[in-house]
Amino acid sequence: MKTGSSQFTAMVLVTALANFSFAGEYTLQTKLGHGYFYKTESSDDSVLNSQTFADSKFQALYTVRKSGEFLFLLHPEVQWNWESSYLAENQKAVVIWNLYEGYAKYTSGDFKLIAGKSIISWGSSDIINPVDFFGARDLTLLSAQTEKIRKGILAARYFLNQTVKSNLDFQMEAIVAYSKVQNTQLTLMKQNWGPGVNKLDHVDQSIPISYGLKTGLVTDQWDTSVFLYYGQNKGSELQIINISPSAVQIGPVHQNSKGLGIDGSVIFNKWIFRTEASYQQVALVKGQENLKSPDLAELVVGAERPLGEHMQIQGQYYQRKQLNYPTNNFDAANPIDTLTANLQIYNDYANGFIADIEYGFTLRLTALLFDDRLELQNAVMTFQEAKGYFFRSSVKWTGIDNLDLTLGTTQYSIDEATPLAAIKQMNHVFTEVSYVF
Amino acid sequence: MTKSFIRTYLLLSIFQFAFAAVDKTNADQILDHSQTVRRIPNTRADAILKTKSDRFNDEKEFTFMRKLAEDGERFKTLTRFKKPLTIKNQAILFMEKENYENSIFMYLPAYKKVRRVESHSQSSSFMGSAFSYSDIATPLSKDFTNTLVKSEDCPSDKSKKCFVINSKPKTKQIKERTNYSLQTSWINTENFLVDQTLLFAEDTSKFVKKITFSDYKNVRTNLWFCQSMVIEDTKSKKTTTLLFSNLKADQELSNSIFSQQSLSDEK
Repeated sequence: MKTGSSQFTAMVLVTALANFSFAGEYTLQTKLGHGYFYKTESSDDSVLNSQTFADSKFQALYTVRKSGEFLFLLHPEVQWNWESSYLAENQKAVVIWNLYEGYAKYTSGDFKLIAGKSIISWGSSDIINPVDFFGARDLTLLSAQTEKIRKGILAARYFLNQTVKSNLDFQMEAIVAYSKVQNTQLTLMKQNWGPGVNKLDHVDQSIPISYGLKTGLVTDQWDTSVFLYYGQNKGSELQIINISPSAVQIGPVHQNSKGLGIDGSVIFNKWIFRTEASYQQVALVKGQENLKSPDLAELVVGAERPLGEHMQIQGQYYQRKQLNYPTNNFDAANPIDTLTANLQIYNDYANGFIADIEYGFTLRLTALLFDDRLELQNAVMTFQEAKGYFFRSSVKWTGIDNLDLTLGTTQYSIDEATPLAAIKQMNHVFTEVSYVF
Repeated sequence: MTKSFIRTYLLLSIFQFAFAAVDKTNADQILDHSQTVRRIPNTRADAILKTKSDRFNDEKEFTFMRKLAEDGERFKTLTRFKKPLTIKNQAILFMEKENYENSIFMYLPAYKKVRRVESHSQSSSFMGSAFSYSDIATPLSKDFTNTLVKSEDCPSDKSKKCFVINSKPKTKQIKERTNYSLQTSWINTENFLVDQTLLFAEDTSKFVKKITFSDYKNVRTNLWFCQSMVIEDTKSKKTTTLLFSNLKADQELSNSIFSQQSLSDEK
C-alpha cells in the first residue's frame, strides 16, 4: 500500500536522523496538529463540512563542526501529513521532503566562504525588503513574526570584513546562485496555513544563474551603516498562479531582473532610522510574456526608539511603485501602488503588538504577548477588489521548555464572482502541539 | 639565577609596585586598580544564565567572547546562545564606547538578520534576565564621580575588609543610559576584587539591584576573572545567576570575530 509505505519510510527516516544526529549537535522538532472545519462552502454552494485531519511535521537540524575553520550544516525537514474526511475514500497521506539548509562554510580571518543551500537575507527592514533580490520566501507563512519564512537557495557566497581603521569596517558579500525556485502550495483547508512544499516543477529557460554584490561601510563613530546592492537574477519569482478548490497554488514565474539598491541606518538622539530602496527592471522570458511582472521602485523608511525600560516602538512606511504594469487576472492579488504603515510595540522578549495597514489590500494585526509564556497572534487580510476577508487568530502557550501548545481559528469569506472565490466560506478551528528535542 | 626565577622576580616586583602605587584613600585609584586586576585582554568561556521569579524559572546557555578594544580600556563582547533551542544562534555584539554610547547589534536567526539596537536600550533587560546590557558592561572609574565612604567587613566574607565606594554618573547621558543615579561597590582591600555592588535609581535610599560577585579565577599573576555573578532585581523580583566555565584567557581573538558579519555566523 503506497500510503502505508510512505508513512513507514518517513518513520524510518526520522528514526535514522535522530540516531545519526547523536554524533553531533542536533535539534529535532515534532509537531502534531488537529483541526475541524464547519460551515465551509465552495462557490457552487456545495458544503465541505465535517472534515478532520491529523498533520505531523518533523524537522531535524544537524550540524557538524570539528575540523578547524570548516563547518558543515544540514537542516533537513520531513513533513508527514495525514488527512481524512469521514468518507474513507478521501483518506490520504503525503510525505514531503525538503532540505531547508545544507552547506559547507570555511572561515579564515577576515573572510569566509559558503557553498551549498543557504538562506540569503539582504536588507535591514522588517518583513519587506526591497534590496532582497535573491532571498526566496515561503509565502505560505504569512505570519512573519514567529515562523521562518525564508527558503534556502543553492549558492556560492564570499564574505569579507576588513577594519579600515578603528571604528570603521568595510564589508562585502558576493553571490553566485542557482536560482531554482520550488513550488509552494498554500492550502486553505489545512490548519495553521501549513505549507505543502512540492517537488520542483521547473520550466527550462536559459541557465538560471544569478549573481549579486553587496558592499558597504559600518562605522561605530556615528552609529551609521550604508550598503549598496546590485543583483542580476535569472531565476524565478513566486507568484499566485492558480486557485483551486482546495489550494492556492504559488509557483515560479520565470523572468530576468536587474536590481540596484541602497540600505542605510543611523542613530539620532534616541531614534534609529532605517531606509531601504531599490529599482528592479524585469525582462521577459520567452513564452512567459503574459506573466511578466512590472518594473518596480520600492522604498521603506522606518524608525524605532525605546519606550522606557521594557518597551520599544517602531514605525515603518512602505511605498511600491509598479511601472508599466499589464492588466490581467491577478489584479486582485497584486495591487498597483501600495502604501503601508506599520506600527510595532514589543517588549524585552521581542514579542509584542504589530499593526500593519496596507492600503488597498491587507490589514494585519499580529502578535500580542501577555507574558513570556503566552502569545496571541491575529491576522486579518481584506480583499478589497474581491470583497472578502481572511482572519486567523491563535494563542500559543509555552508550558515547559521546548513545548508549545497552540489553539486557534481561521475564518475566510469571499465574493464568489472573483477569481479568488473557489472557496466561498471557511470556518476552521485547530490545535497544535510542538516539542523540540 | 635561572631565567624563570628572574621572570618571577620581575613579575612580583611589578605586582608589588602596582599595589604600592595605589593610594588607598583615593576612590578613583582603588576603582582603577580594581578594573586593572580584572582587565583580561582576550576571554572565551561558556556561560549559563539562570533566572528565577515568582512566576517562572528560566535557563539559557551561551558562549562568551570578550576582547579588549584598541583604547586598552573598553571591551568588545560577543554572546552567542546555544540553549534553549528556540533561541539557538541568537547573538549579541556589544561594543563599549565613551559616555556609555555603546553600540549593540543583535542577530536574529529566524530572520537571518543583524539589527542595530538603540544604545539607550542598554538599561533594558539582557535576554529576559535581571541583568541589563549596562550591568554586563565594564564600568570605568572616569565615567563616575567616586567617593570612598568607609572600610568595613566584606558582605560575602566577614573575615575580609572591603572599601565601600559610592559612584555617581558624571553626565546626565550616562545616568540615562544606565538608569542608575548611584552605585555602591564593596572592593576587597587585599586583592581589589569587587565583592558586591548595589545599584540605585532616583531614590538613593533603596537599591533597585544587588550584584554579588564570587568564584574569582586567577588567570595569571594579579589577573582575575569572576565566574559567578548573582543579581537580584527588587522591582521585578527576579534573581539571575550568571555562571562561567571552561574559561580560556590566553587565546588570541581576532577583530573580525567582533563584527556584524561574524555575528550572523551560525554555529
